[in-house]
Amino acid sequence: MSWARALAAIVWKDLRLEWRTGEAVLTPALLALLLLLVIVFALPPAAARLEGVFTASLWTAVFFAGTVGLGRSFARERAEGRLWGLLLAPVDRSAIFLAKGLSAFLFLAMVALVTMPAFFAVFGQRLEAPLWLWTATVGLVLLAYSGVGTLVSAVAAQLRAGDVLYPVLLFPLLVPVVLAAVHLTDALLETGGWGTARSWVHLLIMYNLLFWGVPYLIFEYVVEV
Amino acid sequence: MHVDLRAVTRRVDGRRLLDAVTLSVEPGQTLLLCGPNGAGKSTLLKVMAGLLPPTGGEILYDGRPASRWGPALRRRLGVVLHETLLYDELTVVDNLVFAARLFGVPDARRRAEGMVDAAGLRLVAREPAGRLSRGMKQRLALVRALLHRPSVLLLDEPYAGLDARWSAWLTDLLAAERARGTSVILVAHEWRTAWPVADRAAVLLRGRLARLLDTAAWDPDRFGGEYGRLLHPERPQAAGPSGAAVGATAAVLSAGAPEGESGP
Repeated sequence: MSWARALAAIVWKDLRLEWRTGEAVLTPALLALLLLLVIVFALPPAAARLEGVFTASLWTAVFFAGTVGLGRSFARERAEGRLWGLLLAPVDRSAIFLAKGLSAFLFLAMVALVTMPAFFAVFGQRLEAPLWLWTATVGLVLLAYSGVGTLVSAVAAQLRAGDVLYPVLLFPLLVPVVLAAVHLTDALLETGGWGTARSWVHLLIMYNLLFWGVPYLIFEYVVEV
Repeated sequence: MHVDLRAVTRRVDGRRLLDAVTLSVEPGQTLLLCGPNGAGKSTLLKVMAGLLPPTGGEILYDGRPASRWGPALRRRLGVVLHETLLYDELTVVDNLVFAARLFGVPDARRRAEGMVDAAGLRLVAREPAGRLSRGMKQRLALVRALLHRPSVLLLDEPYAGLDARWSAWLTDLLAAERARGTSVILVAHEWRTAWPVADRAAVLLRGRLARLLDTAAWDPDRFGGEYGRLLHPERPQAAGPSGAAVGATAAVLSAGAPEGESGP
């Protein structure tokens, strides 16, 4: 019970901080929209209609913009010894990882909610698939992204040049998620369902189990100085 | 709560930050921990708080090794570190509400509001903590550590940034905690301020416990002399930078100054 209470307290605190700073939603959402502009200006007019360009543009923007907020997840806790403050809480330290991961997921979902409609509108792309299927797909991708992103953020926060190293450490681990996101999005846009890309859903589920389960078990050692 | 340190050692990269520190604090007792910069005082507090692992020895709380307590031990500890642990962007009240919820304090908001009043922060209760002065932040950090009514207080330089009025407030607060049976381990570079609340004083030098004494048997001046001798065994005088050290510093400063600035 105290475990759930501490988890809720950390998520509440992260939401309050976000309300006051806009670091994890507003800034990444603006960056994603700016990336959309850059992509639109950089592509020849006909290229926007080419197969795969929409999918690649959408996920490139979401993944890159997401690092801005995710990277701050634990970096923000490093100032003024705030991580010490969390570690002093009388709960299993895995609750801290789960809470930070859950906050990251909520923030990424808000970024996606703001930016994805803009991508659909600008590229003139219609969503043939049912909304719940699209939501489930994006949800699985963002869950995987927030799990691995939170773990890498916790590791990077212990390093001297953690802010700089964060994307370098993160993106190699993200490759399976990027591949799954692209294949599933293409399938949803072309057929209205997962169809033959269903195996990528299985991969995402396994990835989520791995990158939420393992950090949950080893988080005590990840934050140990 | 009885606190017992047995040969607590911490080594990092071959350096001994703490070297077989052995001492104990009874319930309701206050231990004043003194020592020069880099003596290991803050490290010792962090090891006691479970934030840094010892590489040798053990710490017992009520006779039970800290490692066997698990998270339940942290509910009994109130910790003030050199860092404030505060979120500058959150308001004073929100910082306290968050800490109270983290520690499972019932009716967290009411308790937080009560502590705001206790620390004299009512006028800035809705201000972001980042806008507070150093002294106000220190008071906030202090009441944050007391929110969950801990039975052991680990305080690193609690008087830092407090003016005379609020130093007296802290002294009263520590006296009340002592009366409640709280064990207090208090690090103070300016040890004279904390002397009236201390039952015992310990001097830490290069990670080793150099002296442990009962304050009742010593007056502050005598302790000052002893402390000075421990810090500078080559010259029998009170604690503080030596005349030679001051002279050397002045020489370095004047040597580093651009020509023409030393006189009209």
